Amino acid sequence: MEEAISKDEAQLALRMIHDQQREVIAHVGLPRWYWWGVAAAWVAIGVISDLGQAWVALGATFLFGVAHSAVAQRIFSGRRASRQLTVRAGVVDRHLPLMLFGALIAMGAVTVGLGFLADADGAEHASTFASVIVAIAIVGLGPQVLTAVRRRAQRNLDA
Amino acid sequence: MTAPQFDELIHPSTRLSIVALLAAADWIDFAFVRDRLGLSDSALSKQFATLEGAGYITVERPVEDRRRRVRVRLTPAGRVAFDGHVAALRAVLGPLAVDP
Repeated sequence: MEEAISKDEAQLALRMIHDQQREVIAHVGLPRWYWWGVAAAWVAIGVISDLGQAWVALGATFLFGVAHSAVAQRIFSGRRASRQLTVRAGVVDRHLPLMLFGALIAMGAVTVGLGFLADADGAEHASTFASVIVAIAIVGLGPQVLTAVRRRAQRNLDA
Repeated sequence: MTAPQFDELIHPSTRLSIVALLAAADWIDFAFVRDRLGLSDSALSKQFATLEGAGYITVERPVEDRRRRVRVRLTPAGRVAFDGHVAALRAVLGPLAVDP
């Protein structure tokens, strides 16, 4: 039965399938406000660390963690809520939430490291400096991570 | 590994496009498919009726914000048929099969 169609026709059909599914995969991602929200909170915690007492910074970090957890539960699947469609769960890498949490922890470590470096260099607002650098990285690189996730999802579907 | 099974019902380009979209999603709104494929409401409804008649899709009509929406899903039978059809297309290409 397979030979009922030509190789060209089969190739064309597979390309059509690929193109249609790419349209669905374009819906994989996190809302833009998430990246800006995390970046803003990051800078705010940096500023608080420079201005306030240690317990205030700790409290702010805790609050951020609680708020972030609440948001993450809803959006970290990468399957953005939409009135148009919901991407199938198996299409998106099931490790995505873990990857995003890992990236967040890594960003925290980088911020602390940068803060210590800036402080050792005599910077007046070391925490703010470090948090701004990392916040820029979050806004700039965060969406790129999701682009890679979309590419991987497409490969999974094509496999 | 899905067994190759060429499916005459899915193969026409419009239905293949519809099923390909649905295969990557839990559900898709009628309007999204219509706009994506550039079809009229009636033309798309006919295609859906054919696929629904074969047991490949289900059509739901939930009410959201006081508006009735039409959502379409691929059934397990539809997914098996689609996977088999894709495997059959790849089998035609044989070892020459490459990512599109």
